[in-house]
Amino acid sequence: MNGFEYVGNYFTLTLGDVGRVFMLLVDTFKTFPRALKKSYLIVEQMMVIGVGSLPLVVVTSIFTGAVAAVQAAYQFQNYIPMRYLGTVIGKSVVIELGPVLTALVVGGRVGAAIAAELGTMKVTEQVDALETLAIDPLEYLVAPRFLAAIIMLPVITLFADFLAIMGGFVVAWAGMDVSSHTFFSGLKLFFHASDVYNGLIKAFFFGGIIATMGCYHGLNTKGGAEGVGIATMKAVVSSCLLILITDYILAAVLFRAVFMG
Amino acid sequence: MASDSEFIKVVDVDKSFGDNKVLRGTNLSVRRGETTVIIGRSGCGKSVLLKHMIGLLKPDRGEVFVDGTEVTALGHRGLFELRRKFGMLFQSAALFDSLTVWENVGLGLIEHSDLSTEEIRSRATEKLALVGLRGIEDVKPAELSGGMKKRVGLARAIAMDPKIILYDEPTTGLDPIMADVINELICNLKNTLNITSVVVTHDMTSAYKIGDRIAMLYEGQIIYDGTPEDVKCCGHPVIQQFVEGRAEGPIPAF
Repeated sequence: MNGFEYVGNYFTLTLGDVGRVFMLLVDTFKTFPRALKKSYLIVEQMMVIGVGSLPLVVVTSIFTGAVAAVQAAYQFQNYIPMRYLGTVIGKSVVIELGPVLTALVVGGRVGAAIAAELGTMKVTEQVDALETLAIDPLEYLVAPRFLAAIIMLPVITLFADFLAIMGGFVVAWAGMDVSSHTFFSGLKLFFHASDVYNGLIKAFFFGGIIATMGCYHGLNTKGGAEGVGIATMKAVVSSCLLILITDYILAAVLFRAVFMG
Repeated sequence: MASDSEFIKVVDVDKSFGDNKVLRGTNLSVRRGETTVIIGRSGCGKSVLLKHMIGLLKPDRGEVFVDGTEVTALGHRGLFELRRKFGMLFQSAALFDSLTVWENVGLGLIEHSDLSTEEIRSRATEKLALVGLRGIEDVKPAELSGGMKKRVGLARAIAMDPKIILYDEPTTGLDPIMADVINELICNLKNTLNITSVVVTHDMTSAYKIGDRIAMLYEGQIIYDGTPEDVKCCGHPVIQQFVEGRAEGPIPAF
């Protein structure tokens, strides 16, 4: 195989994947009216995706806020008054760090779990068995996971935003002699509710990406245990990459209006 | 297209996986109310043929008809409607490992009927009793032996009172006594409920006992289709080698 063929094949495969992911989404959207009636399946997945991810998100966000405080204070040295510390932490957390880091850690955990579960079901013919019972796997497996993820990601992100800011505050207050009044008045300065909303809109999209990648790679698993491993890896890698790429696109779309206007 | 007595009709079906041509112009008719046994060597495409009948696989060429409906032309929803007529027992049982035994058996009813949980549970218990299983309703499939899993799979296949049941190696992995219990059950379902069955197997004892017709799949084609008596004395060298289980003959062992 020469270089051109290699590149050509790679792009054909990737474009094929894009097309199939798109078809999976369209077919899944069509099942929503029926899937919404089975709320118990959605609630079950909300527990797995949302509540199950809390311990991980708590640790991640507290330390993210703490690091943001330390790094901001280092860069402020002798140039910028510490009363802007709260401003910087608040802005960076709700716009960027909260949604993206939450999505990356939840993507690792939930994307892998979905791909491994659906992949195992696929290779042990459980997906075929569902079909023989006239149960649509898209309605029974994919739709509940997708809906649960797009609902829960914004919820966890809001929680993560709060914890990260508190983490930043504790470090500033205990380690840098910044009073709570200074920190929170800085936080209120330039604080726009729209920043939080935009962050949550991002989280909504990230939730969709995580569930879609997990389900797509899971349902396309081939072979046995090795195939499940490959599907899991692909689900995590592709959702992390797509989260970062989508983050840029959404930043350009959502936040541009704010800067320009 | 299909005449009234032909419940399932497979017409000139080709199916390949990569370079491996599994089915090559396969033709088969399954008559209403009869048990058709498909025999053939492991890996010759028997399960693939079975999966075409319920639309789990789509042929590269050819058509499949079930009860006058062309399965191969059905869309997504149409296929799910058609499948309500079917029950299928998988080779590996394919039980849902996140659900308990009774939920496995009752899943079709949970999803498609308005029955209460208690009613579904009692129906599942009833079907489990039919396959000789009692008191394991709340166990997860991982805790069951291979034979028990298969019987739960069978209970699940008959839970929705289907018109057609597809069996993928129903007796493989069972002890001879339990294999005979399953054979009896397949015969009973046919006699009492007039269920049409397609059984894929290489267990000849079972094939002779349950089959109204036996069809042999060899090199991607049905090379013979007849009653068990015909099969015993047909004189076709390939069939004789298979049913007598000899290593020497026209079928290469490797």
